[in-house]
Amino acid sequence: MSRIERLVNLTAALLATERALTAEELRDRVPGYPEDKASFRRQFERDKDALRELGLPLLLESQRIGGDEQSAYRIDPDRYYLRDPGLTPDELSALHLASRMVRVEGLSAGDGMWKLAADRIDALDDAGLPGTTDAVLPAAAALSVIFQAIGESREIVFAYRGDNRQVAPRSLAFRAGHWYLSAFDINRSDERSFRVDRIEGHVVLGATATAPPSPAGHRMGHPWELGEAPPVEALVRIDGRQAPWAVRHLGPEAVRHTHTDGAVTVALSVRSPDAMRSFVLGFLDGAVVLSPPELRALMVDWLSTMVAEPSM
Amino acid sequence: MAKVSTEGRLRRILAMVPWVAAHDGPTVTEVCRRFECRPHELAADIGLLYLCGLHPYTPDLLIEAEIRDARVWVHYADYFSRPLRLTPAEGLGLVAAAQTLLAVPGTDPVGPLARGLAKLATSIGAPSSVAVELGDAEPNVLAGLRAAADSAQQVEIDYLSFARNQRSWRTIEPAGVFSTAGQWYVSAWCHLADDERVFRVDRIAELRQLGQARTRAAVAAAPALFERPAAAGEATLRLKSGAEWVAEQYPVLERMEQPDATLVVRLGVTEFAWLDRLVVRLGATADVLSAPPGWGGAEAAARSILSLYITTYSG
Repeated sequence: MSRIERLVNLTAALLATERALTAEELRDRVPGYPEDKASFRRQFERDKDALRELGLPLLLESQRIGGDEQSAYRIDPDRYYLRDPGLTPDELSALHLASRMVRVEGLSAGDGMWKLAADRIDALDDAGLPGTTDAVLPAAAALSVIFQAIGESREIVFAYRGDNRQVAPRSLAFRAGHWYLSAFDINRSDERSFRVDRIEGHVVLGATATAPPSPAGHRMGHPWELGEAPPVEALVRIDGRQAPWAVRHLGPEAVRHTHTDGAVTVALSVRSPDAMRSFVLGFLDGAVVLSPPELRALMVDWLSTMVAEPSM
Repeated sequence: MAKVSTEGRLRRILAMVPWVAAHDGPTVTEVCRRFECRPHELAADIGLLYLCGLHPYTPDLLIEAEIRDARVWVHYADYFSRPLRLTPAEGLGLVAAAQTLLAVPGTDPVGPLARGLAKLATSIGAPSSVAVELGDAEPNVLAGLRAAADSAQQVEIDYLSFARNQRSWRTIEPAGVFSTAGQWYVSAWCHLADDERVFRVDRIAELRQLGQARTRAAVAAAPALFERPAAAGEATLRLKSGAEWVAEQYPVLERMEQPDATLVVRLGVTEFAWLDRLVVRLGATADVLSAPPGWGGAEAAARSILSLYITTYSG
């Protein structure tokens, strides 16, 4: 009897059982183990390692046999099988449509659909669905691992801008063409956002960790809102030509004043002055930083280097 | 092909059986393609399953697996046939797709898609874990563009051209509306340019239906972006520390890593104002090595912005 056959039968026995089974019970039920007790133990340990290696959720329970406490095993069905989300036919069709119209590069939304449909696989008829993709989201290598960590409430460790970060991930957001991770930074004891494509190297799954309750109103920030410095409120005047776009981009809550000529004064919460400068300069002579003085000075210094006469 | 380890083979069998059981006798070719194995490997797996089952291995407790007429069948193995839980990649793919479609203005926010997504995300332990923003777009502008594209009508738009730093009304004949790289775009025939153009929907301040049929056959609904000819010429920039984002954000024609760790890139330039904006934002973190003929440098643009700081009072 081959080892693969023994492993298939062992997996079947551990999945189909109503209660956890002891090593001796498994030896009786699964053919192919040696009679000798010591070699049986060795091979049984090796088989258990193989199943764990595959990610099968092997549960270890205590079983009272006669007067003895004995270790007993089973595969946790709740973590092995799909938990049926109980989708109605119209919900299933809607998800199927979404999986056809949107593509996340490197991930196929359709891959999981059959599991959800299972015995209703005929419901996944492609006829009548639009053949075109409406939206394509770029891939980032770390997305799946981060998503797994969120689902399993585990912390992750990764390198970012030369620092090692240990975070409890909260959510992923696709915004302005990039994926961002919102997380509780365990070492800094604070909320942080990270651009997923700037994570350096691998994301390592760590121990179980739960982020503290999300602070009210926490949302993914604009580039100038990301950074380590304490936030400073900057007031920026944007002329009437560019105001409609700016208000749509920043949200109406950013508007402090609407001028008679259509210009607006908006408030930005700035943690990264460099990113603010870049945003404001994007308007060319359509925007000016009104306050605070140090951020005005930053703009003036930056621009002065570009108009100064050569010194030599 | 390298020999698959025993563990690798077990993994393939456990993944394959539920899929085969869910599909009505899939062909050997389909199964082999999906589970990346050769027909003789699949035949060996099916032959193996045929010998497996539950204690005491009487015929009623053995798995029934066979290949018949080049199709694969597995029966009587409920414990192997039920779908496995979604892998993180499968779960994320589905949740992101659903969330993306929900982000399209006009999608019913409490309809079957939203309900299905909520159930799915909760069942995998990651409720409200993925957010997708496809870009700022006024729902009525987006709807107006879609309606015009579908009915082959003209519209007039109040459009802010970032490249030219100008805002103007123009008549366009929308062909298609699409989202890519976090922005909504409409491709159209533009009367002002007398050419095909792609417009960013968020820079349309206002839209008016003209009630007139389009004059041109439809242009491509979703043309490859940024493939417009570099009308004004090309620029070569040396990017120093802090300016690397340029190479990420704009399609570069050529990138040349330098021994001093700077990066030299060649970019297509459509309008001088676009280059002004880029060079002003980069400041001392970049050098302009070459520029399109006729471009006078960014100094005038910088001076014009600087004058705002002399004439405006803070507050």
